[in-house]
Amino acid sequence: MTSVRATIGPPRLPLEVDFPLLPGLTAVYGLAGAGKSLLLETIAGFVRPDSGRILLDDAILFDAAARVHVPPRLRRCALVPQSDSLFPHMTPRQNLAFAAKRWPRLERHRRVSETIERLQLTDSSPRHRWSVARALIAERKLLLLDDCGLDAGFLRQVRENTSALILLASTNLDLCCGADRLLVLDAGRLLQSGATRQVIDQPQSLEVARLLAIPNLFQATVGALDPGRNRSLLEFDHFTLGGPYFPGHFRGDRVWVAAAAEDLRVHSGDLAPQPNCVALDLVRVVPRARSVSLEFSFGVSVTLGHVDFARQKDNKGWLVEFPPAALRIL
Amino acid sequence: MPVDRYPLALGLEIAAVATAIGAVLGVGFAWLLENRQFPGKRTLGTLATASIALPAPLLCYYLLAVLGRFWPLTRIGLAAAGVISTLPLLLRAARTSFASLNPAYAKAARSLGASEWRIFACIELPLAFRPILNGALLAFLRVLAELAAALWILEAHV
Repeated sequence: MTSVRATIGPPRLPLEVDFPLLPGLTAVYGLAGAGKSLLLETIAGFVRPDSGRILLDDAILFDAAARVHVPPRLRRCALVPQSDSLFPHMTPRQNLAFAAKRWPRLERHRRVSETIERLQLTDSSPRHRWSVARALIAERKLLLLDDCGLDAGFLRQVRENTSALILLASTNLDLCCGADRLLVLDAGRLLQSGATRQVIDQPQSLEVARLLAIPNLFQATVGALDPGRNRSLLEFDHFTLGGPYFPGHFRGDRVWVAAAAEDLRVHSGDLAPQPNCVALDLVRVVPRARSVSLEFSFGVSVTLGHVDFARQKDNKGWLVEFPPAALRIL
Repeated sequence: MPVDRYPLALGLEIAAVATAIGAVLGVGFAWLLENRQFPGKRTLGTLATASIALPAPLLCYYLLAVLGRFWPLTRIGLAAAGVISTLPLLLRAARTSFASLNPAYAKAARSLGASEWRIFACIELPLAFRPILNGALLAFLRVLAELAAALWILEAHV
């Protein structure tokens, strides 16, 4: 079992986290100054928390109660810092050999060549790729990649070439969305953690939704609640929608409502008005690799597949349908 | 008039030995000051830096005068005085160059499993080598200049 529970208080930068680390790629997402690097350095052993316990494969790396603090070099966690950490007086190949020192000379050369080949590195490859390759060749149990400018393609290659757990800290949301699990960090606090899809689709708080730049985020007043029929009425500034019953809320509550852009549907404006459909003006169409993002008036955003969009692109007017199940109160 | 080469040879020899010993001690001490925490570290660092400001020929003279009581003016005594005179310069040069290294190098190396000695020998020392070499050159010239002055003062006294 691998888990991190650590608290750091003033006068140092604050940090308060508690999460299990599961196999695969886990991303820590947060804005600059959220405490991502601090978290990675704490796990690597360069920062000693005030309290908590850090386990890696059941081995205790840090335990405040038992006063255990394993030094960084014995932790089996390879850290790739944010700034360029490739030793400048050595060639990139020598850097890799440095990390593979524990093997005999011939074996070391073989491993270096093999890693270079597998990661398709060349002399012109960016230096951060070589830094990651150096961390990979050391065969540590946990790879800590700190916002070092990786791209999704190279990250995929790294994942294919290691069985180590990977913890990636990044301010790049698109990169984080490719991870198996996502941690959202803000001002040293872990706001939410879980499977990436789940965190993105069901942000637990307004802070998380805003950090994840969830497009359809509106303030509404709860107009009616009917637990018997599992219904509610949400009054937005420009339209009113029916939703499911929201336990724990009362009539008149001001709430934030989120609706995933993928869950909304669009229809031609010629259709007769239907429940939970709102006539909106199309403002912008943003084509993406696998989908098309339609931006409507009042800040409503809908994501459609290319085929669906091709079928509807000549619509004269637009009706946007908000299925009740797509509405969630944060 | 025949030229006596003895003073020059003696000066070069003493300066070389003193610089070499001073470099080893200075680099080691600088590394400790930059990488380890111990009580009195700040005071020690300040004293070592401040000693650069002492008038060097006088420092050498008094050192030789004190050392002369225990050791007659042998090469060892002269070298010991030279080491004490070079140490602040070398310490400062080494400390500045260690402090200017990107901490990411040592962090990355530690997390790759490298020992402290290996980090020092394979990463920190090669990267800080040039400024230390400059410091050593300055220290060498300083000993050469001060030794002559100090010996003159001593001779005048005797």
